[in-house]
Amino acid sequence: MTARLSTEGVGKSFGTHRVLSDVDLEVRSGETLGLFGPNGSGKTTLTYILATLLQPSEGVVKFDGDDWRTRPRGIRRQIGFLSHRAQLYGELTARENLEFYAGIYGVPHRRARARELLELVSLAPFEGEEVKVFSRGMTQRLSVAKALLHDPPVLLFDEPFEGLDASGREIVCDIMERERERGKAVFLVTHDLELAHRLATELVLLVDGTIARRYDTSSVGLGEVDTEYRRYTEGEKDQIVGGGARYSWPEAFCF
Amino acid sequence: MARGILFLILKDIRLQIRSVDAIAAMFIMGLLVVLIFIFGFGPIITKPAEVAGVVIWVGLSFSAVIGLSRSFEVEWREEGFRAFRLAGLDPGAIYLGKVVLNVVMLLLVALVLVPVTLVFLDVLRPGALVLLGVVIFMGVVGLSAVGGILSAVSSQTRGRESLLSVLLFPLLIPALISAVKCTRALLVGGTLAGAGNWLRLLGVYDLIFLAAAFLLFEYVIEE
Repeated sequence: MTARLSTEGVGKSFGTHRVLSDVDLEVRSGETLGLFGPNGSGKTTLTYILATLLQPSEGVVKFDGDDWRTRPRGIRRQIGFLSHRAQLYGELTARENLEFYAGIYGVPHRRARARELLELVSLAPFEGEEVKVFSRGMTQRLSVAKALLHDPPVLLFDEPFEGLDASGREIVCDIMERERERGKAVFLVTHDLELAHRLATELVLLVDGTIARRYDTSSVGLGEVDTEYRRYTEGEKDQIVGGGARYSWPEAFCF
Repeated sequence: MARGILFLILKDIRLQIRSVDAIAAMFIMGLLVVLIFIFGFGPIITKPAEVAGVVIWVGLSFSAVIGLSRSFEVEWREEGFRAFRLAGLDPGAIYLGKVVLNVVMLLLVALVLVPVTLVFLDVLRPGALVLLGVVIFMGVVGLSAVGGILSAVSSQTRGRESLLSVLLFPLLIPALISAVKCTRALLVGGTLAGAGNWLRLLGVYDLIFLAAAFLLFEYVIEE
């Protein structure tokens, strides 16, 4: 089966600073790929490249086997993207934000769709509230709803659990599982290994911009992944304390 | 494209109404400039119809700097431009949406600044008001067309309003001189006689900068 979303030899440099090297990934329909790794390993940069919002310095990003640059607008509309920033307007209400995005995506029955998604993320009682009064968790749930508005076949979720309480996490987990079962290709970036292991069919560990390990979650337990991840991150710390210069000095002395 | 522009404009108008601060700052800045001119130089102005145009356009230009940078800053702050690109919106449509918003806001400011200037300087010419409206509209389109693309660049920076002023005013010189000349002709003689070339220059300026910015806007917001 052709991967819904794939990368081949993707690398990215900002000036002389190399952020990603030779990244090969595949996300198929009905699967969730979980990406994790230490801070600064290039996860967000890779997510922006997958979302077609950042050009890779080398390599290609493909949708259904086609380089996305062959039909950028059509492909971009197939992506539902949850980024670090909410991409919401504080002076608009939750419903107005969703209706605005539904409008520019050309979603039919905008009001009904907005209402349906507000119920899905348990924000229906707050639909008339301006987003600027929302807590971090409520804003995050509304961003999840925004990413789902146009029912895209590819979902890119960068740290979807950030700022969420236990019930919020469950809501977002249920949504991700439901979307995967509906045949969506889901790409998840998170520091929460437990949730990543629960949701993902494959886990990928990114270290220093390169893929360090891949795990099939059906055959590798959470404990094993966690132990290896700790070994990698401990190794990082040793390298810094031992004189490595990959981090700036304040971060290196914060252990 | 038209649908995208419409939704962007409606969203921006709603944001302006709710947040108020941008439009209020534009009114205050414009009025302040106009009133300083009128009360500072009023007693020594012997030919008020000759200078009223200058007063109006200086006030509108300062208002434009404030409105333009605010209208783009919100999109950079919340990654609106990225969201619009993912929605497949044409970058030109995004640009036109912002230009229309700024034209509307500047026309609202002009609705206050122009009568205040004309009344206080006692140069009101009812017969020239329609043509004056046309000149104001064309000048405001020029301000918004150039300011739109420059503020998209400058609003990503920390000193966005000062950078926008540095970039904007040199490029605005042809539009501002044309607009002032046309306004002066109307307020002195009641017609555009003698200012036809200035009006044509203003029209050509608007078209060139609208077209160029429409085509170049993609490179401003793509990363």
